[in-house]
Parts: sequence; structure tokens; C-alpha cells
Amino acid sequence: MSRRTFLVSALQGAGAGAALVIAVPVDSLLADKGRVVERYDWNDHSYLFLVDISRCIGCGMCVKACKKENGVPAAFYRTWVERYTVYDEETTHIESPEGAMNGFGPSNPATGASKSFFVPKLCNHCKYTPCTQVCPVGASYTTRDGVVMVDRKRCIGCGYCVQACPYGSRYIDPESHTADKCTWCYHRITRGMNPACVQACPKGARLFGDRMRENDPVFEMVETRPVRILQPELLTKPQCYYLGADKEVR
Amino acid sequence: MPDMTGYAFPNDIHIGWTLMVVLYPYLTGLVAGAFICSSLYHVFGRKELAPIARISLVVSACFLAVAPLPLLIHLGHPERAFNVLITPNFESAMAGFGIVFGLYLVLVMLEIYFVFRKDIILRARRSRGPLRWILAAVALFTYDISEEALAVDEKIVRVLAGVGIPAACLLHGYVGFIFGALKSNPWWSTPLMPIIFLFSAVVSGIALLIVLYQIAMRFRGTPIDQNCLRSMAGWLWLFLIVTFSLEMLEVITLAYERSEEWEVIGYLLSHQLSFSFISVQVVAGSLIPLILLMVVVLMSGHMKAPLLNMLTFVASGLLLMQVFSMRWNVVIGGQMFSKSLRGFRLDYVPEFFEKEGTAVAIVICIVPFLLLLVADRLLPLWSQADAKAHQDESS
Amino acid sequence: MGETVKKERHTKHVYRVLIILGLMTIVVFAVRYVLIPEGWGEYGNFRTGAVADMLEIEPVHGRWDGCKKCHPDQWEAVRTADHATLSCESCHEPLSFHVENGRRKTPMPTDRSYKLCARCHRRIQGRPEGFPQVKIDDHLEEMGGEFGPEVCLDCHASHAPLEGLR
Ligand code: HEC
Ligand code: HEC
Ligand code: HEC
Ligand code: HEC
Repeated sequence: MSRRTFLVSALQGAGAGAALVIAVPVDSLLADKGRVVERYDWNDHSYLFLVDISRCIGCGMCVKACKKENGVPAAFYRTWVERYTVYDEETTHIESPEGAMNGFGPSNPATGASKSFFVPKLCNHCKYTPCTQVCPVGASYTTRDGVVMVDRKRCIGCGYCVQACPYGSRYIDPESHTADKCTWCYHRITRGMNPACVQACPKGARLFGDRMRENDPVFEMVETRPVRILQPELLTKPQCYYLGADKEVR
Repeated sequence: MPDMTGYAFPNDIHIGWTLMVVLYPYLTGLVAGAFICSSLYHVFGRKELAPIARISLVVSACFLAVAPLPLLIHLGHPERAFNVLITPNFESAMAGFGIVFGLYLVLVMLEIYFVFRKDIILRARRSRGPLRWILAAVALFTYDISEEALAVDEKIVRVLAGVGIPAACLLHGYVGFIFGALKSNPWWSTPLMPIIFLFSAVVSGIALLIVLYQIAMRFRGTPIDQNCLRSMAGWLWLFLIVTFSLEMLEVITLAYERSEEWEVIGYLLSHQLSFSFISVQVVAGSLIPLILLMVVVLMSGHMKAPLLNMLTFVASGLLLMQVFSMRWNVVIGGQMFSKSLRGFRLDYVPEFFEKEGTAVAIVICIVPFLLLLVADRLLPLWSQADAKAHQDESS
Repeated sequence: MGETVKKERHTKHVYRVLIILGLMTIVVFAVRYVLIPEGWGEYGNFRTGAVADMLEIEPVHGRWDGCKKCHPDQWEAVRTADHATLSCESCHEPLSFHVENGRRKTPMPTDRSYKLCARCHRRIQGRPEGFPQVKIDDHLEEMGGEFGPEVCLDCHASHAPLEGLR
């Protein structure tokens, strides 16, 4: 049975109100070991993301992997890496050449920096997300497991969600003319894999966790370490946490 | 890649809402403004406005007919536009668009129908051949133009015009809400936004009618009704004062608070928008008309008609520009900086020939006037005779 | 309304208008009903099929250990050396490019350029201090290497960069 028919039949079996249970094939080569999932029930998951800024080396492998995994068009980004160079309290230089698609070059004025660090950015998958709120046709939605996604078959391409996102995470895909954004690689995480950016990170600066999994190390870190979220004043409740983020990061 | 200063989120360098999104609130503003102008006559009994009571309604309808065009052109998938009616998400400020727009369209059409029913029937009686049948169908095959039937019509028109005022406010205030309700954008996010949009809509509507009225009267060789014009100038002045105060209030409050947003907005106003905001919108578009209209209103007794006509004409023309620049400054201005609040686009100039370019915008702005010409062929839009009658009545 | 009833004889056109409005409303709602997509609103304000659409997307990159089955030696070599935390696909290409239905489809390209190493190891502003990084010119001078597009591989083995140097 092909994966396609498998998925569709599983979906049809799930009536209104029932749990959305999706069978994921395990015979695939992609599924070798690791967290193998045979049946996917979105009620059994509640995802979260942790960015450990002190570990990020700014190689941009995550951006490259994301582009390849999701076919992100040039000049648009589902994830990107910023470099902050703080010279003194007043001057901070921030850059993200091509979203760090090809990593970073040596530097702008290389002298006199008091601190400098990289900050990976991606969609925060806010619990109270303004982007889903403003979508006039219900093409943006939040799944039960906490992922914000776009229905490309219903999106009218008005761009309201792009304007509403305070983090700049959304864009209008110039080919499909619909809104697009990070999905935490939903097609991967439902198969028990990590998002492409997490897998590509050589230093574990990007961590993907699941609150409902027992002893989830990422969830534990979020609970026990001093993490923060971006633009908390907007009360969007991001599900993406930052460990060791400077005050300049927003 | 556009020229930027500072650091912008990499997705933020694109202007997503283009000239078309500037045009849409401008057009609906004219719709709402013209409608409210006609309601001043129908509901509030400003009899001196009789000469423009009918035309203002038709102007409103003509602009309403093209108002969705810029949005459709802007959409990535215009063929899915009806999704907004099929599966609306009522949490969204934009979801009501289909409903509000549809209801308002029905309302304006009904009001036009009842205002012009008599003329439609008279014309049907005069016509021959297929036109007669079409007009008969429009008249719903009853040719009742007895005094009583017309009285019923008049009553219905009053009710529709009354319902139409909140509807027009809704249609336009809600365009302002679409911008005002976005917490991600400090230049848009203010509860004043719907009110500013609404009042400037009325300004643009009245200004358009003044311009149109004067031009049309010149072409028809009919004298301009000075009572009507003076009254319109008065209303225009009033609404301009409110609009301008609100617009300035918003900026002054932000500047005085010196909150985080001001770092962005202050920069925006003094750089990217210095011409279109300060020179066009504030000085040429608001202050000068404010003075001109003040002169007209306060000294109309000491003024010859041609001078008064010219002053109101110039003020109205400037105000049409002011309202457009206000829409531009809001829509485009809000996208000249990144949500990082650290990066700015240096400028944005729409291409002349592109999908959402200037050429298309110009065409869209011309269409309503063509529709108006067609309507003028079909119906008596200028009820000069009525106006005379009313004047005689009141004097 | 009461007054319209009184003048009944002269309100025929009004009733006709109302009937037309009523019919229009019915048509609008009927059309809307027909056009609501399958699976709308089952789990919220969206189409359930949209989730299925996302799930159907085939991963491009493989699992973390997707290469292990076929390349156990390289896997062992990488995982036991300094590059243990690197994904194989960082220096090669995504798995789906190379393998289809359990067999090799296309030869796997390998990025051998010094730029790849430089991406992670060049000393630039912002890298955490503890991370091994070199100023390429200085490093080559110190180690006695001759600059070329694949110079790093002259001494370092990519899979285990500190083993068998030179
Ligand atoms: C740091 C970059 C890098 C990483 C990470 C990496 N490779 Fe390689 N790999 C190379 C390079 C460079 C070559 C070519 C070596 C040569 O030609 O000497 C290569 C060659 C190979 C070859 C060809 C046979 C050989 O040994 O020359 C295989 C198979 C291979 N790699 C598998 C893997 C697997 C499996 C992993 C993950 C466990 C992996 N590689 C991770 C850089 C890398
Ligand atoms: C289905 C088994 C299979 C898997 C899984 C697999 N390969 Fe291979 N790979 C092969 C075969 C077969 C060859 C050819 C072997 C040979 O020529 O010795 C090969 C060759 C290679 C080569 C040498 C260049 C070439 O294509 O001839 C590289 C590099 C390589 N693989 C990397 C990888 C990496 C990296 C992964 C994981 C992302 C991977 N392979 C996964 C079967 C596999
Ligand atoms: C995706 C990023 C990445 C790439 C590409 C990469 N490395 Fe590494 N490299 C690492 C990481 C991570 C470590 C482990 C560092 C640590 O222990 O913190 C490492 C370790 C090393 C070490 C050992 C340093 C030590 O002192 O432990 C050497 C040598 C090295 N790499 C050389 C290379 C060479 C040569 C290349 C190019 C073929 C290369 N690396 C490509 C990420 C990378
Ligand atoms: C001429 C041989 C040679 C070449 C060419 C060479 N290296 Fe090395 N490299 C070495 C040796 C030897 C060491 C071990 C030094 C030590 O252990 O102190 C080393 C160590 C390293 C380390 C670890 C440094 C540390 O502080 O732990 C890195 C990173 C590294 N090399 C990167 C590179 C990169 C990137 C290139 C390509 C631009 C490169 N090397 C080219 C010989 C070479």
C-alpha cells in the first residue's frame, strides 16, 4: 500500500470529534531506528522548541537544510540566523546575510565589540497566534499538537497573516502565491523524526521537544533553565524558547 | 533586493501590501463619504443638499462597484476570493469583508432603486422594443407611481439611508480596524485608526462631490446652487477639522510618549515619509484646505460666487489628494520598516506596468467615472428641478 | 411596517423586492453550503484534509541514522570521532537525492571544498570561544599547507578530522 492511500484511508476513518490518528509507515528507509512511530495521534503530542544561543556557531546549516527540505524559494526564509555584535550599550550591529544561507563572513568592523553571538530564528508557533487569528478564510490553523500551518489549497494570498506576524516568520510564496511558513517540518515530526534544522545543527543549539513524552530532555530544560521568549509583551505565547538570549534579541 | 538601512528580518524586505491596498481604502472611503453625504439629505433633512442627493448615491454605487477590484488584483488567488464567504473565520478582522460588503451593496442598490423607481417607470413607458422589456423587468412589472406608492418609496428610502449610515461607517471603519488591530505594527496599531479612516472617508466623499458637482454644472451650463455648495463646504470643513485633529493627535501622542514605537515612527516620518506625510498630507493637504474652507465658511457672505466656487474647488481637490496620501502613508508607511523595529526600506515606488502597478491603479480610478457617465444616460442624476422646488418650499 | 400594511394597494413593488431579496438569500446560503469543503470545521476553523496534505509530503532529508544501514563503516568512523554531532547530509546531500525505494538512485555528491569547513571552523566574530576555529591563512602557514580549493582535506579526513593527520 502506498503511503498516500494509507494516509487518506486513515484520515477518512477518523470522524468528527474523534482523535485524528494517522498511520505512518515504518517500512520506509527513512525510518530506520530512532523514534519510530507507527500510528500518529496528534493528541499524544505537544511540541516545543528550544534555541540554545550559547551553542550556536553560526554555520547556517539549519537554513540550508530547511531550504532543501521544504523547497523554500530564494529570498524567503522559514528559518534564519542573525548575528548580533554589540559594541557598547548604544550600538548593536545585527546582520543576517541571505538569512545565513551560506553561513557568515568574517565580520563588519571587527574590533571593539564587547559581545557577539548568533541567534537562530524561526516561527514561534505561538499558542495565541495573531497570524491564525487574522486569516479571513481559515487557511491558517493550529493543530492539536501545537503547530501553526497553512492550508495551501484554501489560502487566498491576501497577505494579512504576513503583516500580523510580529516575528517576520511568514511570507507569500512567489510560486504558489499562498502564505507559507515554518511547519516544524510537520511531515517529519509526525514520522518521528526531528525537524530538518534540528537534525542539521552540529552543536545542538536547536532542540525539539514534546511535553507529552516522558522525561523529555528539552521540556525539562525549558522547565528548569532560565529561558525566555521573544516579544513577550505581545502575549502571543510562543512555543519556541530561547536559552541565554541577550536583551537585544527581539 | 531593495535598499535597506539597519537590520530587517529577511522576510520583511518585501512590500506585501502594494498600491492596490492603498487604493482599496481610498475607494471605499469615497463610497462611504458620498453615501453619508446623501444621507444628510435623506435622513437629516438638509434640504439645501437636494441638488446632490441623487448623484451622491449613484457616485457611491459606482465606486462601490469597482472597490473590490484592487483587492482582487492584489490577492494571490483571486479565484478563491469567495472563500471569505464560504468558510469565513470570524476571529479575523477581514472575514467580515464579504458580508459587510455584500450587505452594503444590496443596501445601496435598494436605495437607488427606490429613489429612481419613478424615473425607471417613466422611461419604460417611453421606450420601445427590448429596452422596454428590460426596464419593465427592473420595475418588477408594476408601474405604480401613484402618490401613495411614491410616499411608500420615500419612507423606505429614509429607512435605508438611516440604516446605511451605520453600514457605511461599518464598511469603512472596519477597513481602519484591519490595520488598527494588528499589534505587530506600531504604525498601524491604534484604536484611533478606524475613526481616522472614517472621518477622512467622509472628507474625501464630500470633496469628490464638490469637484464633481462643479464640473458637471459647468458642462451642463446650469448655475451652481450656492446654498448647496456653501453647505457642503461647511460640512467638509467640519469633517476636515475632526480628521486632521485625530491624525495629528495620533502622531503627537506617540511622539510625546516616546515609547519604543516612536524610535521607528519618528524616523519614518522624518525620512521615508517626510514628503508624503509632512509636505503632502499635513501642509498641502490639510492646513491649506483648512484655511481655504475657513475663509469660505466664515466669509461666504462677503464673497462673490465665482471666488467661493474656486476656493471650495481647490480645497476639495487638495483634500482628495490628502486622503490618498493618508492611505498611502498608512499602508505603505507601515511596511517601510521591519518588524524587527531596526531596519528600514529606503523607499518604495510602484512600477508603472506591473500587476499591481500605477497604470492599473489609474484605470481603476477612471472606471467609476465611466460608470457614472453610463448612469447619466439612463437616469436623471441631477435633480435640479427637485432642488428648486425644495428651495421654494423652505423659503 | 404597520403603515405599509395600511397602504396595501400601493406596496406591490415592495413585496416583489422583498421576495427577490429572500430568494437571493436562499441561493447564497445554498451555494455556500454546497461549496464548503470536505472536512471543514471538524477540529477547528480549518479543513482536516490540510493536515493530511502536510503529512503526505515526503521527507527530503533522511533520519538521523538513515545512512547507517548501508554505510556502517563511515557511520562508525564519524560517530566515534570529532564530527560525531554532524549530520551526514551537511557535507553530502539529502538522503532522498541518493536513495529511492531502498536502493541507490544517484551517486551521492560530496562537498569537498574548504568553504564547507570554513563555514563552521573559520574564526569569525560571534562564534563561541570553546569551539575549535582557525584563521585559515594562519592555520595553513602554521601547519605548512598550500592553499587550494580542497586544502583542508589534504591533512584532515572529513569523517574523523583529527585522526590520521597528514
Ligand atoms: C564534515 C563533512 C562530512 C560529514 C559530516 C560526513 N561526510 Fe562522508 N565524506 C565527506 C568527504 C569530504 C568525503 C570524501 C572523502 C574523500 O574523498 O577522501 C566523504 C565520503 C564519504 C563516502 C564515500 C566513501 C568514502 O569513505 O570515501 C561515504 C559512503 C560517506 N562519506 C558517508 C558518510 C556518512 C554515512 C556520514 C554520516 C555518518 C558522512 N559521510 C558524514 C565529508 C563528510
Ligand atoms: C540503501 C542503502 C544506502 C543508503 C541508505 C545510503 N547509501 Fe550511500 N551508497 C549506497 C551505495 C549502494 C553506494 C555505492 C557504493 C559503492 O560504490 O561502493 C553508495 C555510495 C555513497 C557515496 C559515494 C558516492 C557514490 O554515490 O558512489 C557516498 C558519499 C554516500 N553513499 C553517502 C551516503 C550518505 C551520506 C548517506 C546517508 C544520507 C547514504 N549514502 C545512504 C547505498 C546507500
Ligand atoms: C556543520 C559544521 C562543521 C563542518 C562543515 C565541519 N566541522 Fe569540523 N567540527 C564541527 C564540530 C561541531 C566539531 C566538534 C567541536 C566540539 O567538540 O565542540 C568539529 C570538530 C573538528 C575538528 C576537531 C577539533 C578539536 O580540536 O576537537 C577538526 C580538526 C575539524 N572539525 C575539522 C574540520 C574540517 C577539516 C572540515 C571540512 C571538511 C570540517 N571540520 C567541517 C563542525 C563542523
Ligand atoms: C597541512 C596540514 C593541514 C591543513 C591543510 C589543514 N590543517 Fe587543520 N590541523 C592540522 C593539524 C596538524 C591540526 C592539529 C593541531 C593540534 O592538534 O594542535 C589541525 C587542527 C585543526 C583544527 C582544530 C584546531 C583547534 O584549535 O582545536 C581545526 C578546526 C582545523 N585544523 C581546521 C582546518 C581547516 C578548516 C582547514 C582548511 C582550511 C585545515 N584545518 C587545513 C593540519 C592541517
